Amino acid sequence: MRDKSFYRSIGLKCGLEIHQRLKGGKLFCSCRSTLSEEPSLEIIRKLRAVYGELGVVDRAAAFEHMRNRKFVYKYYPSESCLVECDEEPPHQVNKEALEAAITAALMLNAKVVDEIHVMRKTVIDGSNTSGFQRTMVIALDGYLEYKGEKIPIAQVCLEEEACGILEDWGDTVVYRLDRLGIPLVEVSTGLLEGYSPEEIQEIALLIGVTLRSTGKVRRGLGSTRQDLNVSISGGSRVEIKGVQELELISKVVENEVERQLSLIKLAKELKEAGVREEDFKPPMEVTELFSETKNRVIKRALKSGGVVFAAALPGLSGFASRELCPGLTLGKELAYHARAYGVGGIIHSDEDLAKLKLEDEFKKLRELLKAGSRDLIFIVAGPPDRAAEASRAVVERAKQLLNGPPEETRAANPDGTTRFTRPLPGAARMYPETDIPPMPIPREYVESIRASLPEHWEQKVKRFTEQLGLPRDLARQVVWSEYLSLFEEAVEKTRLPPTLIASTLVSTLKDIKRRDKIPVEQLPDEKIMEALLAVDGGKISKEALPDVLRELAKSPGETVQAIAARLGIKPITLEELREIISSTIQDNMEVVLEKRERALGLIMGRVMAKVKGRIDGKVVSEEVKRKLKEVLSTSRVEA
Amino acid sequence: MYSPEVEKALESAGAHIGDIIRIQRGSEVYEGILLPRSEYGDPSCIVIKLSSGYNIGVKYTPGTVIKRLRKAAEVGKFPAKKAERKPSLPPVSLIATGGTIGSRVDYVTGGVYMCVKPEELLYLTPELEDAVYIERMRSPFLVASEDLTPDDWKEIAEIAAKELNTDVRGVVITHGTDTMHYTSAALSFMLRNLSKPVALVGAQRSPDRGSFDGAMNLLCAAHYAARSDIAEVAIVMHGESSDTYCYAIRGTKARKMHTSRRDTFRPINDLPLARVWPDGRIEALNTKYRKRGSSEVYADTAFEKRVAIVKA
Repeated sequence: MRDKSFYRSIGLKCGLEIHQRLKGGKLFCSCRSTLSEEPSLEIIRKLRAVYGELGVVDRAAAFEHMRNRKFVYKYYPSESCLVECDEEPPHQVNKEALEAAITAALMLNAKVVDEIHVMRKTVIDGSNTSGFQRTMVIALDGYLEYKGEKIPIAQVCLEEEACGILEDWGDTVVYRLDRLGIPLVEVSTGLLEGYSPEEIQEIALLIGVTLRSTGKVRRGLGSTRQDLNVSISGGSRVEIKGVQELELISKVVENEVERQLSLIKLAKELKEAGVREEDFKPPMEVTELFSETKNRVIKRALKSGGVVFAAALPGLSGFASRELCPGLTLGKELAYHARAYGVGGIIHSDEDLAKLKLEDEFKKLRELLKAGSRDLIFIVAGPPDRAAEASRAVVERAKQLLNGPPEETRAANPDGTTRFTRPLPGAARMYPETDIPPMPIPREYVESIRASLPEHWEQKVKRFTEQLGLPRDLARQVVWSEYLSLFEEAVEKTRLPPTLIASTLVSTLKDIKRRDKIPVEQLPDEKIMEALLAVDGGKISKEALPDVLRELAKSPGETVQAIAARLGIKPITLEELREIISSTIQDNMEVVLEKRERALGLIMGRVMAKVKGRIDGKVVSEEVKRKLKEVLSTSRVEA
Repeated sequence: MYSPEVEKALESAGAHIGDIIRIQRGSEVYEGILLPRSEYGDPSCIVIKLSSGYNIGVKYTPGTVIKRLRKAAEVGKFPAKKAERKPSLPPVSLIATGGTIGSRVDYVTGGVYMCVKPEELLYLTPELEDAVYIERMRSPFLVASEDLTPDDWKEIAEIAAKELNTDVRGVVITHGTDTMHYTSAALSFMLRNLSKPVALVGAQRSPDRGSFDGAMNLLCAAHYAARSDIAEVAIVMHGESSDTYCYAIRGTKARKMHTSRRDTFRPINDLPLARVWPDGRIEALNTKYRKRGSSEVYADTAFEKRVAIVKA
């Protein structure tokens, strides 16, 4: 386990970018912000590398252009219009979203700018139909308090969400348009130095809690996303995109530190072994050599018109299986670079070639490439242009191993490792959105928002404890959870005990997810509210709530009423309960007479088996006790 | 357009557009590149580009201190590309008249300017070089199409006739889209004895975007001019919202149906002449058209401008 002083000693610097989707409609049109099921149309587009302000193509843009991919956009009629299709200019900025962003900025102690200018940030990976993302600075220079120190909040932006990826076939990417244009607030911290990965994660959590305490943010899968900038002394700035779970941040940072340290060490080793840049030769086409191959993957590639490229990587034999960080070998790292060009990956000489039925071919390859025993040989199979580019990318990446970790953009995998996606974009990719005029922000408007700012989360915890009677731990859990605004809404709209609402939201739902493996976070707030209202209205008992919520999470399309009916948990009246109790006692009269008061447990159990989930357990217990007493007092007379 | 008060403050600080300045207002400090103001927004807000690339406006109030720090790096010029002679490719002439397709954005201010040199078009669509050989580029004027007059139609017709009578295979005319269908109709009537294709082409998205549609339009227009056997004036633009193919629409039958959609031009009471694919395939859709020939073209540009419409 690395401790804090270790991370200090290697000069860990980290920047956080927290993206949080906002409630309400889209940012630049009046479409709904929901995600939809059935697309009605699709549009096929290509994006071009554009020339930046210096008359040169940005390296990230050039990289995308070279990939020459086709983009298919699925169109959802209620969630997309001509704005998402890039067929109409954006409309005015959504006022509700703007106010939410200003609220968030003020909660982060940032200074709201006097005039907002909407910008276009060039992005041509297809995730924006226009070829850029619209974004605007709302506020600058804020801070958050953490362990008695001020964490710098450099910038708060309001921007549009990108399209969601449905499928990626290498040369074609399928996107969904419904996600495009959902408003999100982006909070960027200043450079965080001297913190451990756990602390960086805590800071991210703190920002998340602060955003949620505005009551204006969305929750659920994908509604928050973290990007990280990580660098260490002697390493490089690496941008890691799309960490979906806050709890993964420390692991991602740890892994990235490990990866950079391994690459620094590897560079040293290679240099000491005398490997030089000029030893790396460009890849060769070697398709002929594989014409009789028994390897299924290559056979299939050749059959569909593919080719094979190969190259030797000097001095790297034996290194491909070395772990750069847990879960990421050097071989895999090199393969990511090939995959970025739309091929399946690479096969290299450190692999079990006998198993892959490639022993003969690789032997011949070693001769053909004039490679020594210390060289790693790899091949790439695929369509001619892609295989050529992909193999060249692998050689280029291998060459960079001599210089330690390169600057690049990576994406987070669900297991906390990362993968290469593209070179870091340059600075020159932002220019004004001319379709939206600058928006002066009157000071009175900002002050009116400041005057009615939501409570700070600590105040909320205090209020929930003191006024709503929540235990302190539960209060804190609710405030830090994604369900904070739903909790407040439910307390206001129902007469249910706040403790019941809180424990339902923070523990019952979690139990359902953990025990039954149901993605309960996808259950919309309205459905949870529907279930709580049903309890409040006596339509289901509070005991039935976990069962109802579990079924709702499985099929959110159903109504609470329908589920209650399906589960047979239609509530019973007090009269019905009394009847059940009477008949249960009658059926067990012998035992009751024998055990007298001690028969309570047995009767209670039998009654509960019949009425479970249909009426409050407390009522059942009271009624059973009362009835038993009554029966026993009369029976004593008889006896 | 800054307010006189801001202009004065900037002047006394010696700060010019493009300089890196520091604005201090109480405890707040902002640093960035000084930018010009558009006519919209608050003229007393100073627009700066932050080092992050974002622009913001900082309100100038009495007591605000502006300091010029240094001159920012010169913003690069848009490079032009010289056409190379490729004898194997069919020659066409290109007449650039302006419009979005021939515009470029100023990346600092966001303003859109007309390409000064028609060669700059080639820079926007490098694929063109592998599709046709651009024998000549002419540019009588560069204006947005809403500013064109009947006199401009005459000038385009005369240049086009002259070009058509050389050994080129056809003529491509870049044009703004708002009045492109007027020009296409006018040229259809003015170019007599037409024996080669004439393609009018424009863009609905500007070239600064990754989603610039003009590149594919230009490529298809070049294919129409160089490779089709349709000796007619046609508008060659996106056939659908997807970047799949263009329609060549007869000049007298075209109409702009939407302000901003890519597939804005539709034929009215007529089929499109052809579907043109960016890879050079041309699929005839309308069997009735004037075939390529060898007759000499002339421009009949007599035009009565004093026309009124009386609508009852």
